[in-house]
Amino acid sequence: MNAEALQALTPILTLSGVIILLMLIVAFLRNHRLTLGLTLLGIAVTVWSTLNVSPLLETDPIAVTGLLVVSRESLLFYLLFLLSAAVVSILAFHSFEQGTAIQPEDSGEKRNKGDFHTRPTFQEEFYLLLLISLLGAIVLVSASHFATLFLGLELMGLALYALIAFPAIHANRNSRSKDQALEAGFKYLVLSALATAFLLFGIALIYAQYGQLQFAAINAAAAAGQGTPVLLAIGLVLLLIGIAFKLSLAPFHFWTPDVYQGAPTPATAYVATVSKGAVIAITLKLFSDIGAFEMRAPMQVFAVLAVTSMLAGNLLALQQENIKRLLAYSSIAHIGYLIVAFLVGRQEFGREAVIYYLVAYIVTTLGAFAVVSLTADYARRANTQSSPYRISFYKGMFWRSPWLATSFTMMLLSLAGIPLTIGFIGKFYIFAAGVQAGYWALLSAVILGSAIGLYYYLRIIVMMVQRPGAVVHDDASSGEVSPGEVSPSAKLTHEGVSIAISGQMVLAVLTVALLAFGIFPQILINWIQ
Amino acid sequence: MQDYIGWVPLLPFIGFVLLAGAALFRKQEIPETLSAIIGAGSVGLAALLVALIGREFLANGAEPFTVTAWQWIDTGGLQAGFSFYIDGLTLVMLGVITGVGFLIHLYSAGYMRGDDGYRRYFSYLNLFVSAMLILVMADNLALLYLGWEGVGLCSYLLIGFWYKDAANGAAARKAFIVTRVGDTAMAIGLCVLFMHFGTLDIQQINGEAGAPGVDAGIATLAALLLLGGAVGKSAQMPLQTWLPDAMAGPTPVSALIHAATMVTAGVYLIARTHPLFEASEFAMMAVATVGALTLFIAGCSALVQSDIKRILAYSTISQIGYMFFALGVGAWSAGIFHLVTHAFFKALLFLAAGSVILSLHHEQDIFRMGGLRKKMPVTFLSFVIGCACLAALPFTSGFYSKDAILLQAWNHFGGLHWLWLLGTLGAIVTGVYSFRLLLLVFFGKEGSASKHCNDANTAIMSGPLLVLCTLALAGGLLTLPLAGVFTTDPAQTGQLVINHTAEIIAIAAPLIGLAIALFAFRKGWFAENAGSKTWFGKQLAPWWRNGWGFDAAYDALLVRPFTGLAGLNKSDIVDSFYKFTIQVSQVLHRQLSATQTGQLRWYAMTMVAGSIFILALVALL
Amino acid sequence: MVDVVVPELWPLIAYFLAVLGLVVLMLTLSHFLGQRRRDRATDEPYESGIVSVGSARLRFSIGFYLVAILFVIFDLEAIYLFAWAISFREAGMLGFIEASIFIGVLLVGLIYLWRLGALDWGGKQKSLEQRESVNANNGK
Repeated sequence: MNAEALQALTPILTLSGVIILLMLIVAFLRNHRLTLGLTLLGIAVTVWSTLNVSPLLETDPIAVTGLLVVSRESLLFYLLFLLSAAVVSILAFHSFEQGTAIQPEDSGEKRNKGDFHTRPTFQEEFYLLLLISLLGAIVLVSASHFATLFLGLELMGLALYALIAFPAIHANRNSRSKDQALEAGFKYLVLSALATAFLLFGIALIYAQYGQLQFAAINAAAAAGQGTPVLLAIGLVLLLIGIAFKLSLAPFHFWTPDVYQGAPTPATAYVATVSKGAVIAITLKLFSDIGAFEMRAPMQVFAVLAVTSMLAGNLLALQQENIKRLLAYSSIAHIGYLIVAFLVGRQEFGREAVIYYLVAYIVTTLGAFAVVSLTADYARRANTQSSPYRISFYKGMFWRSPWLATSFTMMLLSLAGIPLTIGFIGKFYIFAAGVQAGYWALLSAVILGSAIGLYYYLRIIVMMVQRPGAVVHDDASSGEVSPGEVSPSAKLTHEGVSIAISGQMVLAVLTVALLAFGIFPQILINWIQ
Repeated sequence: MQDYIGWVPLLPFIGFVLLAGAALFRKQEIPETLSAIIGAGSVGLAALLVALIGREFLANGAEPFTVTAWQWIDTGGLQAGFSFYIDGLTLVMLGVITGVGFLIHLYSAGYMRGDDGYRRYFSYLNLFVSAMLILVMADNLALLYLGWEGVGLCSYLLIGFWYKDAANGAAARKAFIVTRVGDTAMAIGLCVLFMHFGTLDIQQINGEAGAPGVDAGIATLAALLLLGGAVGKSAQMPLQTWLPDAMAGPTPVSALIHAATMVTAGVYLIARTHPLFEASEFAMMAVATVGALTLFIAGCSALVQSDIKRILAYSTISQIGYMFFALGVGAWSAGIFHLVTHAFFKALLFLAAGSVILSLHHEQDIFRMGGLRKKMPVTFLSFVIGCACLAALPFTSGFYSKDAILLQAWNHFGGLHWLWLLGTLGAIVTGVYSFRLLLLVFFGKEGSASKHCNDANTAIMSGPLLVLCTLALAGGLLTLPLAGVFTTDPAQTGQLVINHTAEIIAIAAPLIGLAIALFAFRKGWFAENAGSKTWFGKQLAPWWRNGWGFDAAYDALLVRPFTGLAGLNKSDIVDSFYKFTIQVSQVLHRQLSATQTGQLRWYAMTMVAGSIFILALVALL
Repeated sequence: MVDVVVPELWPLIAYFLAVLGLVVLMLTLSHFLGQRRRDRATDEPYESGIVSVGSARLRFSIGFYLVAILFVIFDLEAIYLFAWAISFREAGMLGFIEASIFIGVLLVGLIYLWRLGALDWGGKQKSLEQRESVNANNGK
């Protein structure tokens, strides 16, 4: 291992160092604000070291001991994931401050304010786990060997189980939300284990064929032979099943809504963005490294999964009332769209399409979950009656909190792929890629899916702009005023969703990014190219 | 300076965003003065920028240039973005739109004061200016079409600005639907052009259409389809019926959109793609015929109207008819010249009419006016100058442009021709109706509404009027930088033969009109019920007043059968298709939702089943 | 691939169908031929004739599990160190640094666990709670 390779490894090393340091600090000094600050600082330092590595890779990617390859592309993913994790940790901070992360959903449960403070909530560990999972994601995207791939995937996954089931730590025994989170965590754990079994079996079959675990070596061996050996094809398909589970492609999507709903919203945001993004990134890398784009079997399986995901995801979301479940279904559909571009991944343009769509998906999904999370925090503080996770909660939002509603509208429009948002460019890319390759059947599924998708995205927007005539949520503290008597102007001042400054900044940054990359996509395209 | 050309449409657009977005920033309505400053200021800045760019452009020898204002996507063999093409023609249009637009914005600041929708008004107006600028600056037809639709939308919004009156909404819808007929033709035309030339870039199409050996059939077809679009937007025969009704909007809107700028978009389109039209003899003839017929028919209608704004509306149709006539006879620069002078004097007339209407507390019937010349001196002055220009009395701006059109028409047809005769007759009619308007409103004895007149002109309204007076008078002295654009126009190549017979007739025609008007006014023939017993008053005048019965004909031939059919087909077969879609989606949604049992066992089983399914798929495929 | 697989596949399919048929046949036959009886003792678990007492669900303290898992973790790490010890000379300085980092991380983990109270029987929180409740009782 030479100095150059060591330097290429600095982001991973930095992040690992940050984790260990943070663990020590948490062991002796539990302070929520401090932990958040250190987390963000650690992420910032890692970003800085990532940017420092970038000039090294002007010409070629650097291989580190045959296990890892650091390329410019993987650095792009590093940055993407690091920034996403920063957003998630800010969201988590607000959630913990309001207690929503501990009790994601309590409908009418009597809350005792003292509960949160006398009992340890271990909220500092949330950031620790987040960083560990992030480390897993970063290792995963730079893997060039099946061992690293597995290591990264499991590191990411193991921390995720705990993140999803996080509210279960809270000692309030009879809480329904605790059960829900525990249930979500367990479902993810068990099903994930099943998927990992498929994945490992697939790797084993590939190993049985070639006796190699390194991507490049497998590619060389495959190129030397004639055609596609049965073992390799079956192995890849099994591997793909494991991947499809992580990406929640139909019919391996069943866990998604339950986990999204049960997990604390920041953790959901993380599962939806970084975890899926890392898997997409490594799949792209794996497929191009071992030349799987040339093989019929895995490609056909992907095509089938894409179609089923697009249709099932959108249809399931159609009349969904819970916003987190709705976003879960929509994410199933979105990964389905992404796979269409993935099928063209052999060409440079297809790669570009995949990466662009991924960035678009991550920015938009993070934004949507940020809105959901921050709104729920507000609802907790304002002690509202109705659940903030029902879409009816957003009724009349535009008139109460125009900025929040505008930002959310942008996110939804981007998800629906309306022009001048990043989502449109992403979808445009997919179309262009699909047309180039002539995948007409897949494209018609994309169109059909998008058309169905428009319905439920627009439904929320319509709900938001409805005049708050029929009041869905009223201030419990001023219970004596009946909703009908409150004049519209009084409502505007009283019921606006108030969000902490840092939360507002997160939303502002995401919205601006969403618009900026929608109006000037060239900036991002140049980075990707 | 030229690199900043992208800011010209952007500035009004920013104004629009600020005004429209003001609701986000503040809970209450923003002050009127602020709205006016944003609205008029953004257009004013754009006008200033155009002036600076124009100076540089002329200093550089009027060399056309292309500016990529915004590169949207450039990847995978696909490039999309905004490019602007600026040449003499574009610059002339830019000057008219921003200059006249700015004056009308200023005037509006006074005219609209106290209206509930003050902010909304300026936001629409700014959006309109922005769209119109994009229309004239576009370097390809797709972008032009975007601007084209944008101005159509704004026109719709502004005609129906006072939406609480259902009639205004109906007028707005009528304008939108009638122009849509033309737009559809134009869209098909774009498709034809794209299929044939493989591009929508205007300069490329012009280059290829101008080259010898171009397929005349395709050129004729495309040119006629584009003419369809132009006819709709510019309110020419047979789609002229929407413009008189469009007067339902605020009067400055009529001045800006339905007189000075938007309705001339059709003229601009034809001038912009002139090599295409030149490639087809038939299309040229069609343009000339449409123009000549329209100018005469609309002139006759203007003669018998009683609503001050409708008179001006018909006169607008008629004057645009002259422009089409000019284009049709290959007098490209004369047509554009008339567009410019018309923009000046028609904006002036409309704004002055606005002052009259406001001063008389929203009275529009000219028979209730009269004797206003003492009460409203500024408005009177404006009207005198405006009518003189409209009638094309010698040495006014309208004279120079209309004279050039008739002269070149004479040359084009090589002597006497029925279209030229129509044009000359139209000039006489124009003289008659413009002075009829002037005399009835400002001379004679006071009408019932004149008694309550108090001059509503404030400084911010009089200012633009006086500037426009100057422009209307002196506009004839302008030399437009069109030499590089219309290389086939005899007036630009110096091959123009001046035929003195035609010249004298053209000068005499408006004077004859003036004489007739004075004579008729003296005899009292212009009075409200004069001559109602005669054949003219009984048969011809009502027919003319209703725009030669086009509305009634369309109503009987198209609208009624269509609504009748629609009524018959209320619960039609197409609906059942959509209902079916809904039902299928809902059923599938329910079926799929039922699979989300929440049971881990079931989930694990589906995973295994899915894997088996996929492995089977691989084995079988 | 299709051409290669399908001819080899059909005996397998035939075999699969035969197995399926046999199982179905056996189950149906026994369903019809076998005798069924419902007595008091039918559903009781059979434990070599001894009557079972109490519930089969016993609750262990989570503490056992914690100790066991901690043992497993740290014991497993020792295996890696053992491998390093054998090749100590060959691994050289680089190996030493890497092993040190490994041990360091383990140490941090141990410190963390200790501070968390994972090493206390029943967990730190439990003992704290008890102490607090004792204090509260004393206060009364």
